[in-house]
Amino acid sequence: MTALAAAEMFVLTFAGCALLSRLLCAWVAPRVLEGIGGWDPTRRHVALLMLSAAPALVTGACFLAVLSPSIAALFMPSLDHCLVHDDGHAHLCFVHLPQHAPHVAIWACAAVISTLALFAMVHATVRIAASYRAARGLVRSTEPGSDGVHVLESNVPLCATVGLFRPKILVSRCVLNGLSPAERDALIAHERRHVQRRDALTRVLAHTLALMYPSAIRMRMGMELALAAEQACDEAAARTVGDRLTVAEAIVRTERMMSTVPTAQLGLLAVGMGNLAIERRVHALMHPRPEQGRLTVWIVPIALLLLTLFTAGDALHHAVESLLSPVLQ
Amino acid sequence: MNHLWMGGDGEAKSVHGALGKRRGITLNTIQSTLKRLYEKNLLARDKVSHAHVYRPRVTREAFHRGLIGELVGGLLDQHADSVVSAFVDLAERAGPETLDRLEAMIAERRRERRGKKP
Repeated sequence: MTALAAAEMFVLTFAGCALLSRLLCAWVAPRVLEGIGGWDPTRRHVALLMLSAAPALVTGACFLAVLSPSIAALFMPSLDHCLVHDDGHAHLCFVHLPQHAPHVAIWACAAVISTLALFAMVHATVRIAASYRAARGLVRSTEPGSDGVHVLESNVPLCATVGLFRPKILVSRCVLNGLSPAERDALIAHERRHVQRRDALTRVLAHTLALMYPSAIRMRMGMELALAAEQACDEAAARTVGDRLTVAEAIVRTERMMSTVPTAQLGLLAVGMGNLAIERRVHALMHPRPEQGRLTVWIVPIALLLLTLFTAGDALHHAVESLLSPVLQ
Repeated sequence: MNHLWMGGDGEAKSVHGALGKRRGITLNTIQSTLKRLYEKNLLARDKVSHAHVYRPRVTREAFHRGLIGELVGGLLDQHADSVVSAFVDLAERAGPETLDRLEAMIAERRRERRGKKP
């Protein structure tokens, strides 16, 4: 029972760190998104990945900072400060376990939240698995050409890179026929860059890490991450074919092919008209900017945050114990 | 499926002769696979003498259309974007006016370039 009560305190502490981290990162994220909007796509993509991981990393750093006196006491018993407190004070400690019984309500809440999270994960996994099966079916029903591209003998336009660990390029015959040779080269070069960058895998990781953000911020970050990846691949395609306008033309022409297909054939409802991503991509290809953005500007604020956290570890530890005392004692 | 779509003989031994030997797949595996595809309604079969002869129930076009629809449907639910990076977003469309404007911009830029060339 006492070990369970100790675990209860650590779980509540971790939850508190996660909540604070979520609030802090939710405040910072929109400002960072505004600041990196003009960066070149490769650096922007890296910055967005770091931003996605920020809540998890801040939570971990905060939790470690709060526990630092407890960890120090494990290895250096002379640093054990528990005896200084009276019996009514909560002990966030690996050595001195609390004597009270665990609170059922807290464990019940944790069980409910964990069960809901598990159901959400299972539901998402089932849906992703269905999409994966469809993608694998398309890949397996075609033979790759000498250029490694799987051509679908279909009048339904599709041009995509599918798969997480061994991505494959899928293109419909009608898309290849609808583009000029130079535009086809641009399209294939774009998709090859997705394969090299493993964009689908990084997107899954970023999406998982960003689950701690509020949904509105998470969705915006997801869209910006996808756009940065597309623009990075557009730049690679432009370097390969040697003409940025050819890539822009390939994008617009492929989009027009997609637009001519009645959505009923694709088995979905039209989401809406007006695609900001297409415009931003074409504008970026037509008006290239010099490379902007330095990730190193973030080193100082991050270092200051970590220094503050660990310098204040002792104070944070006692503050958390004081907050937990009326709840648990 | 590719073998049958291209008009190959649908009897298990013939399929094994065409594909199995090359890929090191046994006749039993070919028979099991054909049976599974039949159970999934992708193949139809007729009994000829003692053997089943299989033929495609769906065309390659219809098969691909179904899978593409599943894939794009998954993107609409935002579950397939873990698996797919599309050249143009498969779930949202730009309007014809937007595309006309973008095409006009690109054409204008090409004209400017040609004008600048000596």
